[in-house]
Formats: sequence, C-alpha cells, structure tokens
Amino acid sequence: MSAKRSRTIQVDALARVEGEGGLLIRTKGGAVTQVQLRIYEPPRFFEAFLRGRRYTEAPDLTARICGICPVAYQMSSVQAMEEVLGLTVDGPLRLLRRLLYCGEWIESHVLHAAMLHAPDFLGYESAVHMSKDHPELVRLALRLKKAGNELVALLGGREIHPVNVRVGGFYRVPAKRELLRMREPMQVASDEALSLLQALAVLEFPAFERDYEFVALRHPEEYPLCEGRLVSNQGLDIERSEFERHFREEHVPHSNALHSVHRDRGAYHVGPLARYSLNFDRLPSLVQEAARAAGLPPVVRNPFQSILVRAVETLFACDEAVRLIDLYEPPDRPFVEAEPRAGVGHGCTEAPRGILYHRYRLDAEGLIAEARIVPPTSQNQKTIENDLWSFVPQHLDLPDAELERRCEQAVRNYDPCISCATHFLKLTVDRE
Amino acid sequence: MNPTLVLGVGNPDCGDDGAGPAVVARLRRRAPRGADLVDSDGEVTRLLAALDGRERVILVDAALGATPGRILRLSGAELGPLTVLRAGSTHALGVAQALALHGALGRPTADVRVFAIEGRSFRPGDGLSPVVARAIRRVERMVRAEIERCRKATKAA
Repeated sequence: MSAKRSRTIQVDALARVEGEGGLLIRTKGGAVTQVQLRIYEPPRFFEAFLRGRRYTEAPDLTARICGICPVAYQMSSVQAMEEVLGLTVDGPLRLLRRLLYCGEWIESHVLHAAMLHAPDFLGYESAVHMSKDHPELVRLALRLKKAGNELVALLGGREIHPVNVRVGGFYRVPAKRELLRMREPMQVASDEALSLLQALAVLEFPAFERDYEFVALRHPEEYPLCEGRLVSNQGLDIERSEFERHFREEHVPHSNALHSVHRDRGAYHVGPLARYSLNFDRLPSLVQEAARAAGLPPVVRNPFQSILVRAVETLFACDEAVRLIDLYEPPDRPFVEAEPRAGVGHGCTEAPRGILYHRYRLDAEGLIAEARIVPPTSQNQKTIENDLWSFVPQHLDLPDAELERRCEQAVRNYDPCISCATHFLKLTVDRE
Repeated sequence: MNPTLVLGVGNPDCGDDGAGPAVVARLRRRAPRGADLVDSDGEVTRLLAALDGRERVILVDAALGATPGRILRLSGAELGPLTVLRAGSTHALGVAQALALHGALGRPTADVRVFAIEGRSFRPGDGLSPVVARAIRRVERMVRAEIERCRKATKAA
C-alpha cells in the first residue's frame, strides 16, 4: 500500500473502553494531519448538581460517576471534605480505606489488562474469542477479579456502588475475624497475580516510547494510593491544593470532556506508567523483582507495556492487602466527626487510571457551593492523541483495518474511562 | 446453592432497563422454592460467578424493540448469534457474551431460558413505563411456572 495516498481511519464506536467515544485520524502523503479522540457521550453535569447538596452526600453522589472506580470518587471526595472540616482520619480507618482501594485496583486492573487489553496483543476481537484458545488466562483473570470484588463488598458494603464510606471514616467497620477471612483468598490472589504478570510478560510490545511528563502522587514511604505530594519527572513537586495553579482544563470542539493540561508544558501522563515510574523505589522488593523478571525497567516509557504495569500493580495490591489485614485492629469508633464549617477542601487520590482531583467549597451549613472534579481520563486525552500523532506515521504501510486495530490498541493503553471524563470513544483514520 | 438461577439483569435507575430486577423483586415477595434470585448490572465477571455451577438459568432482561411491553421468550441457543453485537457499555460485555464466555470456558449451562421485555424508554432517572410495568407481572407468572418446571426436572434427574 502506498504511503503517499491520503487516508481516513474512522472508528465510530471504540470497543472495550468504558463509555461512548470514537477516533478520527487523517493522513496525507505519509504525514498525519489530524488526530481527534472524539468523546460524544453526553456531558453529565455532576459538578452542577452537587451544588446545594450536603457535604455528607458527596461520596455517594460522585461514586455514581463511574461503575468501575466508585471507590476512587469516594476517596477523593471524603479527603476534600475532611480537609474543610479539619478531620484527620488515621490508624485503622486509614488502613481500611487503603485496603478498600486495593480491592478496586485489583478489580479494575484485572478487568482491563486480561479481558479488554490482552485480546489486542493476542489478536482476538474480544475476551469471548480469546477464551476459546486461552481459557486459563481468562479463568485466572476471573478468579483474581472475584478476590477484588470480595474485598470491595466486605469493606464497601456491596460489590456494585459501595455505600459504606462516609466523611470521617466508615458507617461500619469489620471485626478482626471478618477481615482475617480475606487473608487466605488474598494470598492466593497474590500468587495468581504473579502468574498473570508472567503470562502477559511473553506478549509482543510494539517498539514505541515517548518522553512523557509523568504526574503522580508520591508518599514518603508507601506506594501511593490516597496520599502524597503531586510530583512529576520534570520538576513538579506540589501539594494537592496547588493543582489548579499548575493545571488547567480547556474545551476542545470534538470532545464533551475537558482536556486538562499543564499550564506551561501542555500534555502530561497520569496512571499506572506514571505512578510506577515515579514510585518504583516505593514498591516492596519482591514486587520490584517480579517487575524486573517480566522485563520492565524502573521507568517505563512504552505505553503498550502499561498492561504489564497494571499486572505489577495488581500484584502489589494483593500483597498490600495481606499486609494490611495482618496489621488491622478494629478502631473504637467507625468514624470521626466534626461540625461543618465554611471553607475549601481538596482531594487527590490515585484512581486505577491515575490521579483523580476534587475541590469543594462549602458554606457555613456544610452545603456544597462549588464543586470541581478532574478525572484521570480528562488528563490523559491530549497524551492519547499525541501518542497517535507519533504512532501512526510509523505504521502507514499497514492496511486500513490493521492500522485501525493498532490505533484502538494504543488508545486502550490508557484504559480510558469516558463515562468518568464526561462527567466523556468511535476511530476514524482519514487518508485523504 | 440451588441448581436453578433466576437472573434479573438491568439498571433500575434507567427507565425500562429495570425490568429484570423488577421481576426479581416481585419474585422475592414470595420466594419460590428451588431457585436462587440474583440481580445483575450485567458486569461480566460477576455474571460468570453467578452462573458458575448452575444447571438451569432463567434470565430476565429488557430489550430494545418496536413494541414496548412485548415479551420475547428465547432459548440459550437463540441468544448465541447476539454475541456478535457490540454491547453498549463495553466494560460490561453483555449478557449474550457472558453466556458465550461461560460456555467457551468449558462449563456451559445446559438449560438457558430468556425472558426479554421490550422497553419504551431507557432514560436515566425514570422508572418503569406503564406498559412495561404491566408486562413484568405477566413475566413474573411465567418465571414462576418456569422455576416449577426446572424444580421437577431436577427432581426427576
């Protein structure tokens, strides 16, 4: 096929992503002239309808933004509210939140890596087609996912849209023996996560790297979930409250989701690659070893290897869950309380797809006067487009159908959650 | 665990998409013997977990169609061709795909009966439309009869 010809690749509805969006790519004479990640899922106006609601409602309302990562929304919103109220949630309550978040990471990462992204690498249309030749991979993923589901159900009150998180802690905390029942399943899950990583390590990864600005949380001791400073590999080192001074959201006509950019440096990258590359030294040595054995260096700039990093983080989450279960002693009270007061609070935690930023302004009665939510997929949109600007020219010799497939795979490197971003996929490659 | 599973699939907060869970809710008021009742949002791994080890599955779901309130009865085999459809939400593979995956993993459920109720509106925030609310009462009776048939089949076996 002549690379000189102009082509259009158009995917009207991207499969195996959460929500509704498409992709349009135009090329002319071997150069890419247009890349648009088109997000047409209607905007959902969460920030507007939060206004006037009580601060206590934010965790349950925002959890409904996403069926895949409701815990992330709960964690960022309660953190912001607790900042306004001057509450410190520590000890066993902090431990339980971290454990709940581990459950969500396992669920989300395993679903994406094994069921949605692996078929791209193995050449199948879907997990259903893949399961005929690779039943063990699918069974392994299903067992792991189930372990994550059980952790979320135990601490969150139920599997779908957990309801047990509240500002100040939880509505109900588990007895020690309830949590201990999860120890053995999580240990088994840890072994299975290692098997998953090993199974994915043999995949072929396109030779493709970019010099991203990675942005993630960094904690003095731990691999980050809920806390830490916001850092990057280009010198950013700020408190979460300074997020909006460094990043802004802009509207682009082809997307119902705002694009978030660094005010001076433009596109940046959040999610597993960023977290891992900025925090490799915070992973337990056994997890570091497993990552190295799978062929991953301490800094990963190939977005296609995100599937491996998700498996590494799944292994981490399983091991961390076992560690936290062993440390748990039930608190005296399931939550701490304070009177509402006027003020502004910020939340930023590591959702499976990357940092999730919340800001709320409360009035003296504790009603929400203003809400701002910046989900990870909004932050990655421009980086996804930039990846395609670089990736497509290297592969213009491919026939349209194959090029389209590879572009979709490149988008899925980010596990984009369009439902979150519109609070926001279709592919069009146009070779003119 | 009962060998027969009744699965109500759908989102009660999206208009007629709640038909499946609404039928299950009605069954729960006078729980039938010999069957487990489960709600599902269609998420594939949880669907597969629910299907595991069942001999018979009765699936109640809403459907897109030209005649709101119409009740379609399908067998598992008739659902098969639907696996080629791309599901609306792709993180959830869809019920047909979940059943296909269950089969492909070598533990197929032999006896799958599907009751699909054609909906009028699937708008978020709405409840059931009147025509679908009437249909779910008929489906409840049909499912009770089906559960009884399954119970006898299990007993005979």
